[in-house]
Amino acid sequence: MWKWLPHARAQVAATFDRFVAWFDKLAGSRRSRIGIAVVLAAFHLAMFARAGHERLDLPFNSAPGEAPVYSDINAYATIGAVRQPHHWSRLIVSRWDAEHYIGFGVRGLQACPTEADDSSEQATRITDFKYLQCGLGWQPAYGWMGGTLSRITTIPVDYSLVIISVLATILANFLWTAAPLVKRLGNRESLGALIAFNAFPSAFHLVAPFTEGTTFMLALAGFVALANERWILSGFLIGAATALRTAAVAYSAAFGLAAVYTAYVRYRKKETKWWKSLLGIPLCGWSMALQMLILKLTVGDSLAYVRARHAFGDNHDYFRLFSPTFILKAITAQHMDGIVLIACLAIISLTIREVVRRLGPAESIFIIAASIFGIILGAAGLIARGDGTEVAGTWGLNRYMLMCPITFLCAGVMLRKFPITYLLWIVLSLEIYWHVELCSFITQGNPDLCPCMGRFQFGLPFES
Amino acid sequence: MAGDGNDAAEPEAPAPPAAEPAAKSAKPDDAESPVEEAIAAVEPEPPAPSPRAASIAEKKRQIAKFAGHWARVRWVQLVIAVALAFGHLGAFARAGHSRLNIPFDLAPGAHLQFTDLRAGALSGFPRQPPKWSRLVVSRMDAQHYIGTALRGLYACPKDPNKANGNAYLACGLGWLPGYGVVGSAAMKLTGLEPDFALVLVSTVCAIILNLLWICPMMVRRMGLLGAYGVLLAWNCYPGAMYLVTPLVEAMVMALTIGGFVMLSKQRWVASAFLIGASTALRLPTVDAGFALGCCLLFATWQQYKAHKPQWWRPLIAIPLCGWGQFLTMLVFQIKLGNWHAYFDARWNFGDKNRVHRFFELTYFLQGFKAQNADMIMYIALVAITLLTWRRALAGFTSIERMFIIISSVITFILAIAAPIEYWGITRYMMLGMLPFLGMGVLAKRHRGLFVMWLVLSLGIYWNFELCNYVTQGDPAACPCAGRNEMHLPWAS
Repeated sequence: MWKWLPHARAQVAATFDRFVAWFDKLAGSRRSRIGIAVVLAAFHLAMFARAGHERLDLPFNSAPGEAPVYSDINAYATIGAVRQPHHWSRLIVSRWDAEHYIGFGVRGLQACPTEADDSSEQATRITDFKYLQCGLGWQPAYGWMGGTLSRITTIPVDYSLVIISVLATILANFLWTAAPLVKRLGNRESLGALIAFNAFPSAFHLVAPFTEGTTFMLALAGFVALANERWILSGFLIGAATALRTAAVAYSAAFGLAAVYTAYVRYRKKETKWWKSLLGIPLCGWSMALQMLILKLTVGDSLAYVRARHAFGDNHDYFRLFSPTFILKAITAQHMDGIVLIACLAIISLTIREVVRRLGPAESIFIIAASIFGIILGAAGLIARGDGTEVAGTWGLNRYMLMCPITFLCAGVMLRKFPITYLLWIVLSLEIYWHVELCSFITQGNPDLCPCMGRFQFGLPFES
Repeated sequence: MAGDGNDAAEPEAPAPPAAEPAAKSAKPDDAESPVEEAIAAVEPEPPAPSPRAASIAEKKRQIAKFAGHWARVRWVQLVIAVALAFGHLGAFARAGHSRLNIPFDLAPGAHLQFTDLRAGALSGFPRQPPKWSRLVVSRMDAQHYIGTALRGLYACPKDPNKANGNAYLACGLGWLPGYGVVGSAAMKLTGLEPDFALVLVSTVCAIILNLLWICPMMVRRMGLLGAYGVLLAWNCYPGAMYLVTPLVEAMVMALTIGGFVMLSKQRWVASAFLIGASTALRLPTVDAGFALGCCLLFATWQQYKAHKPQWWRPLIAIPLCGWGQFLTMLVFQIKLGNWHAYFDARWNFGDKNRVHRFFELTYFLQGFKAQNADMIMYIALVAITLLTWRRALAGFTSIERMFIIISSVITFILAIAAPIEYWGITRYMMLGMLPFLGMGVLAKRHRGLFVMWLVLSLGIYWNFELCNYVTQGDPAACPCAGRNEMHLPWAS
């Protein structure tokens, strides 16, 4: 009666083996790598389109032909229910901070004061406020890129920003299976990392008019250059990311550590040109320095961004992430950031040894330091709000974790070592992606439309 | 193909019992990737350890030998078991102080008794018996067990034609009376008040249970470190605090694990007697009864195939697998004229089959914000099971494995299907052995993850489960708790 069973089992095993062999080959050919990179970027756009339809009954573009435009060039950036530029949120991917990046693309720094008036304490506060309301609470470089592309191609700023993000995402996806990574980690592991990265709950930010896609792509490219021992190129790429996102200084610090370590090891071995890796260090913050110079020349203060953030309410606490209460509260928070954080830590603790063994010391130092600095910086900058307690603000932690590459490398190794657990993580990730993060993003935190969200912390109308 | 957690058995892994063909040996270590092979090929042979490293290694070995020796000494094990049980009582005392600013006993010397022997179990405030919640460990269902210990079935309608589910619920039959009867006997034996008597029973059971986790059989199967890992993880588990409350958990688990130990010794009748007894205390323990029944049938078949004399002996034990539940029904039939009085009461309480939840992914997601973080625990236990099941089962015989797997799978299903919302999933999951055995594997193979798990467990133990229990779900006293599902006043 059960004679067919062994035969069926053998057939299933053979099919499975064939699938595994095919999967392992995917990271080997450039064509399949590009195909996967494009498909995964398109997946996020499709998810946005689907979520817009399901949650808000909105198309991808709710105002075709209506490019974002200011009716008042000096309109406040963070005040008012219906904010400017008009139609900034017409694309389903344009929510939250997208307003400010699109705003920079449209009006640049025109609304900012040209001089910093610090004649009195009150005047300083007013200047801080003006910096914030002209949009400087968000770094202007990404918006500037969108504006430039828009002027060159005549496509609207919001579309040009999405195009930049999508291209950066495709490139980042492509880089996950780059030769240095595949050589060190293995085919399956690299693909596993790529899939885990794209299934991460906040991965859809990569294709939105946000800085995540470009920042991470530059950091990953910098890592690949570092792995190839092209230190100057690596420093340049990582340095380019710092103008887009302040938290990118985590990559710079990590690069500095890796470069110093490499120089030290080579010095101990009495190698000639042992100092070569140090050449990249001055470059690893170049774009932030350039941006500060431009701000000094145009708005009168190189620290205008910091002053705007201060006016916005930033209150950095570098030990927040080490507070058990913070983590426990984050479990039931609106975006369930605590669950994702704990799961990431579990994945890391399960496979970190193997990842370090495969990567080598300099690469490991970069990846681990970048992730640790990144998440500590991210958590430190979270704004306490919600239920009014000091540590309630966990909103954004998932987004910061997306920038921590160690999680994905460890997940890649997990695919080989513990495939079923890997699959469980991917399913959980995608569930939180769809029901929690993406829903909360496109509805700007509407609990009525997103019943799976955690304890409500923050919501805003998004009409424009 | 790599399996989850199916690495090669480590040196300290226990040898399978002689009587049993080796527990299907764990598959060889995960298939090495080409990269791993390449790394292995180019990696130089490890250099000979320096004298200092060798000395450190020797010291480590000596410490391990010393700890290994003492960890097997019975009185040391007893001290550890007692300390862990008292740790829970200490946590309760601390929680009472920090969350409610009350001592362990709010009314020392008070005598517990019903002022109205027919008082409704679920109606009125404060509920009867007066002062039932004077101990900080007496909350929630403790009222009913204390009530049963005091008034038995006195308040229950004796005429089945005039009774309905609500009437049974009102007399306390929404909770099986077995544990209350045990409490009543303990009262009479010790002269203690019913709440103290029940706490005493639970604490003794918790100590016995702790000893069972590190008994020689478990150490043989899991290795010394694995067995102690299970013991530690068990006591850090958020639901572990129930072990010293006037609730059934400690006794149920002591009987179940005791039955399992008997099963491993092939003492079929004793095993069935113990596991059958647990079915009188808590209905979800039928999973263990059912699993044992399957094991007994399998054992019979194995012995028959091996042409053993008296191959039929395991069959004798089968009728005993649910004797506690059957006896309870018999008593109901004799005293109340209705053998299904408990089921009628539960039906009225709101119990129903909710297996459909397995097909609603949103149920699982919404559970992440649940009051007691139950879904976090559930998913974590699923992940631990997936990660470690092969290795956790590797040391057990096929019959033992069958018991562990069947009872755990049913527990995983019941934990989702049974609760009214989410509160209780963590508690239900205590009946599933496999994830806890997996924690022993974590202790041996993935220490970082094991430590992380203990920290998370203790965090949820203190901030969620214990806080919600002693305050009966007061969100103001438990700021970390998730969305409020239930909050009841506990004053009495």
